[in-house]
Amino acid sequence: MDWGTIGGGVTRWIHVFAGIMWIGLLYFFNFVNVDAMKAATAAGEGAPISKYVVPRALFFFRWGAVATWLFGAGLLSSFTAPNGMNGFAAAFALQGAYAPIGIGAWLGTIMLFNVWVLIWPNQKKILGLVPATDDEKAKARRIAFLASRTNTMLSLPMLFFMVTGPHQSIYH
Amino acid sequence: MCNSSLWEVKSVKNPLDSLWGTVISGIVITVILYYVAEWIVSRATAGA
Repeated sequence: MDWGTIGGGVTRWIHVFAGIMWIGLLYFFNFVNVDAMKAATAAGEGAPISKYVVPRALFFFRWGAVATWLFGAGLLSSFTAPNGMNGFAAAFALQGAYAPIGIGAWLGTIMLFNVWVLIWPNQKKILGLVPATDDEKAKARRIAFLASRTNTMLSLPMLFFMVTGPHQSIYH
Repeated sequence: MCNSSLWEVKSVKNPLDSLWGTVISGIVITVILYYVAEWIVSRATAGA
């Protein structure tokens, strides 16, 4: 076994590990925490979740997203497309057989953008990590919610193309 | 006189407000993008 093969395997391993961390926490927020927070807030017990659970979950969520993207980009870059293009460029340019994994990569990139540009800055307002008025918090809550739901929606095709991309037979 | 009920504005629900709406939207996008990917791959295969 050569070091290139080992490196590729380890890169793929970390990409999947970080991806499970990221998407697992995304599903925790959407499938569990939204309704749990509603019920806890109605019972006057929402504060501990906001204070102890959400900030920790958001830490692994946003950095898991970065690690997933970086190791995925590294993995794609280690391949060369049939037309001689680097795998990363071929995927993002949706070149031939690289189109399915490229669609997954584009979806993952949009999701990473949503995490760092829409979800995290608005969550900082909601959690009181940056100063915000009640109106700003209400607006931030809606934006963060919709961005998170958008990512949940996009995660379905993203996962489909990530797992089927290397199996070309389903595209013929 | 126009019938006011004809002009009643009905608010359209955002599918992302519901968990099932979100999942179904994701499945619909998956199907559409699958056909896009299939078209690109088959075009490349035919040209090869």
